[in-house]
Amino acid sequence: MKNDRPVSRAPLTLMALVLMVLLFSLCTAVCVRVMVSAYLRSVSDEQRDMAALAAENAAEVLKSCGGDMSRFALLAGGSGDDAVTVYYDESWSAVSEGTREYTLTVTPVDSGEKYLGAADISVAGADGELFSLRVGWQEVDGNE
Amino acid sequence: MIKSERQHRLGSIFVLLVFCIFIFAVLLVMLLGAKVLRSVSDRSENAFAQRTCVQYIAEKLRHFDAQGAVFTGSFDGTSGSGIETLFLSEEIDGDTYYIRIYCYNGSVCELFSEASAVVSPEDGTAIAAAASLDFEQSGDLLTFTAENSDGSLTSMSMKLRCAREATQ
Repeated sequence: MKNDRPVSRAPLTLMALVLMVLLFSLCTAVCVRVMVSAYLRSVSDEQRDMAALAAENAAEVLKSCGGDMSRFALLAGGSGDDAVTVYYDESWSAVSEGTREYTLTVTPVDSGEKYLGAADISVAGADGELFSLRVGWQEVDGNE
Repeated sequence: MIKSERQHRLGSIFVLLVFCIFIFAVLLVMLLGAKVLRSVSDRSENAFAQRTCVQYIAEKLRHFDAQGAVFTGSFDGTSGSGIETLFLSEEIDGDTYYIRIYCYNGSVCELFSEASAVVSPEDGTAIAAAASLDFEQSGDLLTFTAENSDGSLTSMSMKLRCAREATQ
């Protein structure tokens, strides 16, 4: 009783393929997750870098103004009397509030030391604070 | 017999179809990966180009911030309309040396020479790519703005502890 019918190997190949697809799907899920995370990380890192630069700039300008907030607001393109706020657009150019993407806030604080001025500088984006630092300067020779 | 052969052929076609879909999915994921990698790499490169130039100058300024050691002017040391240059001077064995930082031929260049030496812009060493570099001094605040290769501007201000007049 010899069987002359050709033996199909398709089911076996299909099974192997299905296994491959399953394994591939699993790897893809992991890879896509990693890729998305890398992309988001690079975006947030770039924002943080620029936020650090903006905060550093603000600190230098504030030190140059000797803590004079109105002069700082004028130089930095911000607004406010006690705490100054500067708005930035996507390309980190100072803009009005309407088109803002990032906000830099400078709030004077008490340093606890005589003749030492201090202020907190905070840069925030849509998802919260990106960078912050405290700047201090000596209040002497009429800078008080 | 014919029915069995047809079934066999259909099965093969189905396997081939699944294989093609699999290959397509592999290519799609590879393309997606390449796109994400390029985007991350471009972003990182841009961030590097944007920050490196100004941070480099800022660090140089911090290092050389001494009485009369930092000033801006034309490349030849005059207040003429040459290449805008940042001068950082230091004294070595009684001789004055200048470090000139300026933009030339699409690069921010640095040139160290004796103050009296006759030098030309092409003698400098390229530090970073930039289309232009401007310096503006107002009192003790020195602001420098670099135009990056992509046309964007990166600005940084530095308070000079030992400032002197903007140009010599």
